[in-house]
Amino acid sequence: MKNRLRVLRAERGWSQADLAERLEVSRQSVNAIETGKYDPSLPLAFRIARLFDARIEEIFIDEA
Amino acid sequence: MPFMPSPEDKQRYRRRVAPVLAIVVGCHYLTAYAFEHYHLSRPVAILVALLSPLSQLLLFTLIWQFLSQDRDEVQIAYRRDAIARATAGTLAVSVLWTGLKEYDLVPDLPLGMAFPIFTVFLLIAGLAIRRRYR
Repeated sequence: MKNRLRVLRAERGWSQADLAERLEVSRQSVNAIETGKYDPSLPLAFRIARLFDARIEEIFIDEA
Repeated sequence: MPFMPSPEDKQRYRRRVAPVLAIVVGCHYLTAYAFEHYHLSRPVAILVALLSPLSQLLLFTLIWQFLSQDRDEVQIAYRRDAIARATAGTLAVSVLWTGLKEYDLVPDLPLGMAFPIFTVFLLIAGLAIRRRYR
């Protein structure tokens, strides 16, 4: 699944480590989600959406 | 804000796992030694044979408890993936070995080898998974 996490993060000037700290996950996890190698669970997707003040579907793009 | 598991959690995990790991290895070799050197009666043999799997069960319970405390779901997924692959690898080796043993193509696999084989597979799987998701 594609996502706009990298763009949203860059807009705020955050590093992967900054985002990881805010989401309470590791930097490797942020990288795996950004590169689409791992699709987050709904609770984590909601945490990400709340952090960026956006809806889940604005961050994660359904390619189906 | 620190993410789970905190360094304290990891330290607590190591403190719990290290002695249990020693118990697992000890039970493995004690069981293997008992079967090799003594002629055990059936009930005693069953009890001795149970030592090893019970200690492993304790170890896996501790690992599972640690994973359930971890909030980093990506890392949990990596570890679960590695454990599943290591279990599959160990099963594959044991099935293959048993098949070859049927035709006397290989010697008996010592009882104490199961855990080291699993550990080797766990290390390989862990490295492969980290490489893939890096």
